[in-house]
Amino acid sequence: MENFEFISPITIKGAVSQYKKGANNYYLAGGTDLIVLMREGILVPEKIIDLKTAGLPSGIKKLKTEIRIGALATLSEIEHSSFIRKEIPFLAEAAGKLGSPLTRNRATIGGNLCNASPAADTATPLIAVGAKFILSDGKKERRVKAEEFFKGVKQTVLKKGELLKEIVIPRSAGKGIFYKKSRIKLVDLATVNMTVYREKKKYRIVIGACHITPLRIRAAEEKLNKAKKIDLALINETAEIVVKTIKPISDMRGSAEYRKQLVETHVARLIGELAGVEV
Amino acid sequence: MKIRLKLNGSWREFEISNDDTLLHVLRDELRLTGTKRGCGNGECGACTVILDGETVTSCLVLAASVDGSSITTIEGISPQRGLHPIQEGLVANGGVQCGFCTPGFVVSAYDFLSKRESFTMDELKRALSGNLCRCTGYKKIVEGVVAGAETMGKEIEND
Repeated sequence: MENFEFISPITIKGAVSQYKKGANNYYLAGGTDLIVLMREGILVPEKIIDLKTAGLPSGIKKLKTEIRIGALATLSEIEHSSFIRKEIPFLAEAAGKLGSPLTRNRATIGGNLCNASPAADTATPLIAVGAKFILSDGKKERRVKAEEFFKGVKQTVLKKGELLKEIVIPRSAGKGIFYKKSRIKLVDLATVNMTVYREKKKYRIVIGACHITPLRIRAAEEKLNKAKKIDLALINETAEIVVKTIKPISDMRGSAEYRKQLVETHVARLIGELAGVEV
Repeated sequence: MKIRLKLNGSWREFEISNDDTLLHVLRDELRLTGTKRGCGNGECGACTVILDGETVTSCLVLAASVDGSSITTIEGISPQRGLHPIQEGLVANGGVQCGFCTPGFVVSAYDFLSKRESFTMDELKRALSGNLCRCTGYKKIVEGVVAGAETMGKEIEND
């Protein structure tokens, strides 16, 4: 690793102003991606700005109408949080399937999201449940919908220096299911991942690792939401719409064709499970 | 820069470079060579240590970012004389082949067992899933840890 300046700001404002002083500065959260990229020489930062000292909200809070997750909450915290497991079990499951326990103890949900991999495991459950992200530039805050946060591979709506501060999840009685397929049972990146969510008979379908961003498939949702009765034929038609919408690539984790087949089979299965229809 | 660490129970202060990983400091500065350098990318678990109560891969931790933290390495788990029950269990059950992955497994198993009175086999396997053994002796490693757990008075539940 090339040497760099290590900065421990004590406020968000301080972190942002340090970040803006230069073109090649990076925020450090858990570091489980950043340090690998630095070791490999892919990133050669001038400054590393440690967010752990910067006064970001930490941990998981249960409020009356929403759940708030601090951007620095580790994936282990989310995986093991008793009320996340109870109220958003599909998010706990997604967090618990990311990497190894050693990675999850260090890696943060903010890092997983801001890294903006199309395969980010925590993205599809948060989009499906209608989460919002609170972004801060040290002076002002703004809220963006989870589904509008991702702009491309490794690209988000974050402006220079702006950081993800907190994740806000509405408390609701909806039910969701997360599914991840990887080459081995544990400790691998997703070949595909997805969340299907149902609340008051309205469905949300979000597919990961099959597009430049995690992708909500509204046309497929509409098909289910308009239907008077959901049966096997309708579920299969919906799965077809999903497959036609995604644009997966072929890579070391699977071919595009394989990804399409995985998505078709499992999105149908997840919808069936939520609708009470045998698939 | 200078950092302070509570290392295996005692506070130490030392000079580090910003780009030092915790693994580098432990092995190359402090000569605590029980923690192994494997892949260097957080994939193999050979460098597992306990950082503020949680197991982490020390190759992916910048030493500069853990000033004031508490660290337990394999040297802090293994007694001065003899072996920890987990180590004994591994030896007795053929859970050590080349031995390179062993300290990481022991640290992960120690952290897992010291946090609970009982566990299921599924939970144990998940807890060890970040540690790779390329001699592929997983079955015997799990059996060794279970033997150690029994010595420690832990109970095994059905999955």
